[in-house]
Amino acid sequence: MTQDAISSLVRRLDTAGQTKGLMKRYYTDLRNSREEGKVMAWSYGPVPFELMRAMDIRFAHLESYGAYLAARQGQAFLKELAHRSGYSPDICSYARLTQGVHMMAQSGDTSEVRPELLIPQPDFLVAVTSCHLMANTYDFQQRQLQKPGFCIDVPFMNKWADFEEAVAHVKRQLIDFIGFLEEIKGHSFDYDRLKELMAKVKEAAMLRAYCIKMSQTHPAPMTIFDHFICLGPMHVWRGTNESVEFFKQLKAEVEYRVENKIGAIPDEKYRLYWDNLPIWFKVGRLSDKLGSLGANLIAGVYTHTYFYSHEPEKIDLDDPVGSIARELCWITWAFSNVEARTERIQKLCEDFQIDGLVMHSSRTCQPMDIGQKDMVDAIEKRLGIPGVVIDGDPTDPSYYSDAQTETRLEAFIELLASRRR
Amino acid sequence: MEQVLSKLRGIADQPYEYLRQWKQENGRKIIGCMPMYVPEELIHAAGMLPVVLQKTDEEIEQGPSNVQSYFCGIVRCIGEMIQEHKLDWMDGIVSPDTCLAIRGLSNIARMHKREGEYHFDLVLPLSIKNKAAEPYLRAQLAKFKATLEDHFGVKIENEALRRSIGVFNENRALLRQIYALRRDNPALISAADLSSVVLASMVMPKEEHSVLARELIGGLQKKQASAGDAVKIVLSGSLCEFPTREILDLIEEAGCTVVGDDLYTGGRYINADLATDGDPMAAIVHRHLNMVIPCPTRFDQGRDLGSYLIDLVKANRAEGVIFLIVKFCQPHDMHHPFASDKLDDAGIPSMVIETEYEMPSVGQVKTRVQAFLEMLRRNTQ
Amino acid sequence: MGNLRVAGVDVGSVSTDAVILNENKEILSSSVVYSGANSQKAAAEAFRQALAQAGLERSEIAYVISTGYGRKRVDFANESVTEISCHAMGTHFLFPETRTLIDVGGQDSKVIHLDERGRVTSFAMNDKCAAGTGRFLEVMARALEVELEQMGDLFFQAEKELSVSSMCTVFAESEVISLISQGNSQADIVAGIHMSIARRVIGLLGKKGLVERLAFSGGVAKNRGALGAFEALLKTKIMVAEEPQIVGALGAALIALETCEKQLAKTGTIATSPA
Repeated sequence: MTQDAISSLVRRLDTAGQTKGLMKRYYTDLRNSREEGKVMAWSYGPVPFELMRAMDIRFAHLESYGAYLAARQGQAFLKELAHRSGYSPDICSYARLTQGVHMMAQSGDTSEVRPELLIPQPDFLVAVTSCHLMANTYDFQQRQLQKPGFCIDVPFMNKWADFEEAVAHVKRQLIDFIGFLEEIKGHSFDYDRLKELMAKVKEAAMLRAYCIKMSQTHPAPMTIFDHFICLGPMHVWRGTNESVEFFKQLKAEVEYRVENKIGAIPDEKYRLYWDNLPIWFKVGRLSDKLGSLGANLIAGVYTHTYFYSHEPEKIDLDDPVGSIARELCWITWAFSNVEARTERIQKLCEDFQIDGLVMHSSRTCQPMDIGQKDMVDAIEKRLGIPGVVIDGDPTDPSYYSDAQTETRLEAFIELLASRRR
Repeated sequence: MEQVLSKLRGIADQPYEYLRQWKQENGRKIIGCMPMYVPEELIHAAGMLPVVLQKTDEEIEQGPSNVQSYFCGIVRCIGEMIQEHKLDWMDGIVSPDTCLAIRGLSNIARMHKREGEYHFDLVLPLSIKNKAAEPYLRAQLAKFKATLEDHFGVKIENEALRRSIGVFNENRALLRQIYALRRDNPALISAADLSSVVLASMVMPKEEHSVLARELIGGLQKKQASAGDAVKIVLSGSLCEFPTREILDLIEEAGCTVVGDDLYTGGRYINADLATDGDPMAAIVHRHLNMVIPCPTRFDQGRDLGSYLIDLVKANRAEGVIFLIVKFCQPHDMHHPFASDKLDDAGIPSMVIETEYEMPSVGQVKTRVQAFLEMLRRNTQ
Repeated sequence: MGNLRVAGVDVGSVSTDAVILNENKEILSSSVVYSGANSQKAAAEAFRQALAQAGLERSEIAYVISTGYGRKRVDFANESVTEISCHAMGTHFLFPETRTLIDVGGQDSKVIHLDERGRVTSFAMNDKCAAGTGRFLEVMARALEVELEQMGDLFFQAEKELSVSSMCTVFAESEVISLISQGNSQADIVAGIHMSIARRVIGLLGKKGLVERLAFSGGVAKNRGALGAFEALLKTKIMVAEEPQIVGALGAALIALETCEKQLAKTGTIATSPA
């Protein structure tokens, strides 16, 4: 089958196409921060954008920006710059891209990048320690830039019993962070604005949760790759009208598909689960490849647990800071305890009628890798569902081989097929 | 003195053998602490022996594993030992919040430990100058203490804790004395031997180790030796995973002598004294939030590692720094460029040696070190 | 003092070279032999050939420095010095304006910064991984079914640069095979391969970056395509020795000369350790 024929197999969502325009606007706004007299921050990790948006502060999310730039201008030069600054190729690929961005700005030579893709230097920096590696990048860059910085410490949780204590601890720090923002901007925090924002976060999250749930039908109207592409509106855009509108449209489109039994792929034979972060630079290709084999990657931990996926109806609008703290802690919890992760995989398998697990073992993104073998074994034991491990990386193609991965996936589908005979 | 060194070397080389035997002879409990920063004094005060878990030199099996091959050696090694139940004879494991890899390893410890074995996740704040860090750490330490008491049916009184702190401080002071002797005459003891001395302290009862340390100090004070014109070097790095004797010997054989370090199995461990007045639990909190040596696993800690190393180089009259970076140790990998930039600005030469668990040809490492020393020497002529 | 003669012997993994110099830094002779399995033998043979060429006896050589991978096994050398220092010195002699030296050999790659006296001020090496070394090119040439020598010329025929991103030589090989099966031209693929190796090595430039001027040594220096890739990425003109192979031995000999001169100035004699 030719590449073109494969590409035409998967039915792309119209709404998903809108994210391009949204992201373009987002980066344009960032770029114009200075002219428009807006305070601008560089942020790392799952940062509480809501708090900055409530203060009318513009924020760049450095990992996303690095990946965004890499997708448009190629990543080789960014990685080279990071390497030159002393970052070994073993380091988290997001961190290397982010470091490359910073080193490029430091050198003053931005000739390799189209001007409309550049972002300004920050007024302050903020990080969340959920990801040590991005926090490390923050640490380095903050020291070099010598701008004010704030590091929110989300504690590691391995017991559910520790959750509430962690939430209280994070909430305390978010309040301190608000104080930090007040000092930066020279005026007090607008809690009413925050409540408004959170109402929109809640509305969008509930719409999104509904769309996710719709994939429990046969055939599923969305693939996980659609979910990956649709993250932007729930990420840097959350808390806005645009975000709510986006998910309303998505819901409408998904409902239409469900009513008319239009699946994301024409001939859905196998429903699969994806573990760990996406392999961003292969989202399209893998979606097409699996589609051509009749396989739909329907559910995954990253999209179905983060981004306010978990019980958004319980977001407490009377305690917005607490809700944000809760979400931050939930993100860490979601990749910490292996038994809990296994439970969640099991639930996803049951809810979405999953036939097989695709475990992405990511070379430089460590948090979710340890314990994958135990999780696969446990699911096989409990549900009789098999798994395959593929080697990849969220943003670094040096650690990925089309041939190796696609061969494994093909073999896995053959295995699933033979089990049905 | 050679006898003492030989004994300490033996314990450092085969820590688990030593510990199994010790347990048999003493019948007391052993708690394995993953590196780094577990407040061992608390465990000691509970009447048990805290040991810092070490890597062994056994081959790690390749193949589908819960700890993938791109994790650092010590995490893979400890992970494998736990999964193969080779540490079941210990009475418990404490997993501190050191880095993402150690966090992941905590899962393995919890899921594969023996029934009834103690396991505790000690959450240590990462952003240590954060206002909220202090009350949070106090609460975590209280939890740690309470779970030790509950699980083992003991009571840890403040008096006992103060005594333990005294024992540990004393041992660290002796180690610092050895370090001072080494600084003033590096030929007295090789880097490899000194590393074994510190490693042994991480494994043995501190009281016994202190006796040996005193003997060693006596011997060193009488020893005659000269380092000649060997280049004086400070070692930096190797956080959780100690550098092998082989690497340390190789570095010194290439023509230099180590006069100081900030290794975990070295400078970091020995510069961790606790205040002896006031509330001992508060002292432990204070130690963590005011680390003497800035650590790549902590953030927003105020002082940076580069500045610390500049001071260390000056204090030890060193000529250069060799960074020992454990392959796949991302915190260190990401942190050292800033430190080496600072050293560059201060005109202090530095180089990096990446150490691996399955160390390939050491000849290449020797070439690099030699080239570095040649560069140092020729540029000062 | 007249007639001061020194020698440098570079024992590499593939070839062993020897250079004899006089005190005016004139090359009296040079030789290149295959290293084979026995580096001691190869060193002795290379030295013997150089002596014969120069019409000299061993006793007439005041000081010998060995360098290269097998430098410790040269029993007739007075001293061993790493190839890093020797390559820097040798390149500086040939091109005094050199401040950055990139050396890509069969099994490793190095970037060396040197000062106006040919002394090393900093260096970085990749000696663990085939990607970024001549070995990478060998594997790719095989996959493309071209001769190594052709690779260089193909580079300049490329119409576009294809991306060959794999870090691992094995992965890259399969990447190249799939590029071939997609119908891409050999030239375009070769361009991608050369750019890939160049990028890997350029990463070693570190914070200092490129300090003009840039010289290139090592086996890969003979590959015009590789040079083309480096020049394109670094936007500079690279200097390459006519005989890049003997640069290490030449550097060793120059350092031997320096050592002798220093000792003579200090003590009036040359202290030679048992040779």
